[in-house]
Amino acid sequence: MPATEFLAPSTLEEALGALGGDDTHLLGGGTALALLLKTGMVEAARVVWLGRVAELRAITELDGELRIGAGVTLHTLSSSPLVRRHCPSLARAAGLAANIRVRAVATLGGHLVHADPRQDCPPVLLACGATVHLASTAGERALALDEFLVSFLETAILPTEVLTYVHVPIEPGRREAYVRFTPGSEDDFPTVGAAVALRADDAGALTDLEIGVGAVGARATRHRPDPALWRGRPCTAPTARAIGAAVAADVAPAPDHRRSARYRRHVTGVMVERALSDAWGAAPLPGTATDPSPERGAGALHEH
Amino acid sequence: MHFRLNGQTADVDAEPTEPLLDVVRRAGCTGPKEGCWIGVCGACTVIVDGLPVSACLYLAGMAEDADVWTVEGLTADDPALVDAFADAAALQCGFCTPGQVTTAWWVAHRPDVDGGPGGARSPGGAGGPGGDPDVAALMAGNLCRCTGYQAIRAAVETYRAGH
Repeated sequence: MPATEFLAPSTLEEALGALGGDDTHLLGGGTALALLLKTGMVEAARVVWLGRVAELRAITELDGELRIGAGVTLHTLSSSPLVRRHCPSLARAAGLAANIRVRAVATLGGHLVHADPRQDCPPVLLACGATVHLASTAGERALALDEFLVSFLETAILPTEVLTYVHVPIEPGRREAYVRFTPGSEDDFPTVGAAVALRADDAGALTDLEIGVGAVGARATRHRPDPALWRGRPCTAPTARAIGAAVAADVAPAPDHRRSARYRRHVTGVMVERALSDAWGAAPLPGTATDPSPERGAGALHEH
Repeated sequence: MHFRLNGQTADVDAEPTEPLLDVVRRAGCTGPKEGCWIGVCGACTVIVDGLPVSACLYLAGMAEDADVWTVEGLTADDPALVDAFADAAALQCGFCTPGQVTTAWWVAHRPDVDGGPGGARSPGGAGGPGGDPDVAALMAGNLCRCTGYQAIRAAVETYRAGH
């Protein structure tokens, strides 16, 4: 790699002040950016590593939401008691992603900004209604993840912005699941990843349903099938199959050298059906814990 | 840069954007190997602050003040790690072995892993009842082209059972 200025700010303000140049890149854990730099696909005059910004490495319960710092690694996300309690399908997706060498360093913020459609967390975050928070020296803004994701490796972030936090609503009673199909190696990207978040009333009838799908099209997508298919019904096998078919009809599969569009569409239906079955069988999420103190990643990147 | 390498203080000249792999090899720890160069094969695996990373993609600047262990330090600390691989004949050409051994150390020593009880890769998944996850799922990403994985799996299972 050519000589590149490397900055490791310890506050968000310092990080924001270092941005703006054309060849300035934010670094989370490097699983994507280091590779792009090494292969010459990206040239950087300056790399700003966010790993020392402590506030971005915490997971907090805040005003009915989980607030996850953009610098939280996938490993920390998957082993966090707060995340396992309030969004277990996110903990699951983060823990299934790639292998430990990636999860140990890849950050949630880097994951979302890189926007590879095959990632595991975006389908879950879409199903659970997550919001991303962006900061710049000019101020802050929040976007629904569905608006933030634009297309293949493309998001709504500006060169002057840092993705600071991901907020996930805490919804006691929600039931969720994430399933994926990886016909190749255990640590490969999935062919399809499907996430479901649903709610049912006391009579056992569906009242809310959100679905996220990854690895199929140019970006992870959010799906809300026609309520006529499911509202007021239990999630029986025929209902799950009908919903799966509706989502399969709704996706825009991008064929690549590995799988045809037709195949991806078919597997989408199957994975959504399985995620529905898993979510229907899952325990409703509990209420908030009594101790609101923030968690910090144990054993993850050095915090001395 | 300043960091700890296998328990010793290390002060070395390094570019912050060069791979940590090059830094530890210059410092004399040539166990970690450059295999694929793109973070896929696992031959360059080292432990940074308790977790395995691909040293070929880990920028040296990120390791400032970190606690870095390579296969040299891990096996000097615990010869049983080497014995497990030798007894199971879990190597042939040996190129991938330092990475395999390094990941095996993590599999045995980190019960809080993603695949630990209640983790994503444990029976029941995240938030589930838990149980020991399959060694193969935890070792995924350390590629071997000649021995085959059964002997490696046996070595890691033996080593994990002893901890």
